[in-house]
Amino acid sequence: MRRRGIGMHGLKQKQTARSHYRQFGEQLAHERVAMMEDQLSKFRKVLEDFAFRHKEDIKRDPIFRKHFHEMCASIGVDPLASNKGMWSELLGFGDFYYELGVQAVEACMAHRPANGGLMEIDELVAQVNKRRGGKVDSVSKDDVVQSIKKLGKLGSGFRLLQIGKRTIVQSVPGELNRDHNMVLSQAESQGGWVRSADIERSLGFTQDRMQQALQALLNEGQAWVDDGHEDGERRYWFPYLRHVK
Amino acid sequence: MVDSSFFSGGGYAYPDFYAYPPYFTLQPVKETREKQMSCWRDLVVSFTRANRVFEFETKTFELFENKSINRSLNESARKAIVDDLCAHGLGETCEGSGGGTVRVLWRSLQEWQSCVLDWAHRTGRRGDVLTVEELCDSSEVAGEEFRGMPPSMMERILRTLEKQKKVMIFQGTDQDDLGVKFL
Repeated sequence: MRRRGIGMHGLKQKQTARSHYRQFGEQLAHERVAMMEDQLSKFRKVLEDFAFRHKEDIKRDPIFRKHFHEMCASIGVDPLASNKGMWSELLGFGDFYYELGVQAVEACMAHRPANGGLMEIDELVAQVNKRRGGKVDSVSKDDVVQSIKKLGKLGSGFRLLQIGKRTIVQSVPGELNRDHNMVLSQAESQGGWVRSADIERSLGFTQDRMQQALQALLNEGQAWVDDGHEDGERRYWFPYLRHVK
Repeated sequence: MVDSSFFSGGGYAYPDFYAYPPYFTLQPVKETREKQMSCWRDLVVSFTRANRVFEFETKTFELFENKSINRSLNESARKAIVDDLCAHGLGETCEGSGGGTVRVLWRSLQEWQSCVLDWAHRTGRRGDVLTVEELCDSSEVAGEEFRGMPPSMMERILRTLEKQKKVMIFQGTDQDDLGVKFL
């Protein structure tokens, strides 16, 4: 009996201890969560204060804006995530990038017939600033990149590509495959145009492969032909590289 | 053909595309060619208006060659541009030129008609008789927009006005000399 009593007692004791442990553990976890929440809200407050204090700088200075974005990104806050969030209310950011996005789309559309929907980012920035006019502060490359990334999320076919040394905004759906990329990079390296001979020699394409790549680029309006050179060899020009010297 | 007193070719601001070689080759892809044609159409109209060119020879038109980039439109490209211009009502090939001479309508024929009539009314020419030559180029029309217009083009405009009973045209003493009376 006694042994069993001890047994029962021991068991009960163990149970009590376990539940105590659990309670304590829960309490601890609770406290930690509360602490985290407290810290987060403090942090948020600090970030808000910071943003508010530097509101004008963020709005006006593209470089400051870039740093602010980088800071936000590194701690996992996206000031552009929602148009309704505190950030857009605080800074008017939602409107800023919305407006910028619209201007970027308009600039891309206006030039699409001439360049087949490929435009260098610097050119787009220049075009967007032209559209905005001289009365407002000009936007930076980073701003336009941000707005293009936002547009991309809408599945609108807008995206950024890296071709050769350049960052290109593509405003038409459709893939540029590896061959197209190689042809464009080759053109970039020699001043914005290529001949068949250049592609054969530098890229080692067969006739078929070359024709396919060039024809696809022509069909998309991303390449234009030029038969006017005195050597009589056809050149393929790529309008997005128009300003390459 | 070009009124030298108004000529300002040097100061004319050419669009960007004019220095981009592929615009001088007729593009094989339809959408691209349409873009190319619309660029040329705008350029031809703005260039001729700025330099007061009323007619040009398709084969030798200076605008169709850009020496600074060593490019010149070939015959079929020139023809395509002219055809496009005509299709948009901005040009017409001159009668009897075999299609080689193009009249650019940087003002429509209707606009030219009212220009001429307006001048006649403004300067009290009703009932007066002038030669077509005088109407095209004389001190009488100094400063008028139609000054320097080729007589053949003026005749084209007057013939329409004649049908509307606004003027009367009659043969002068010389073979080529046409007289016009504003009614």
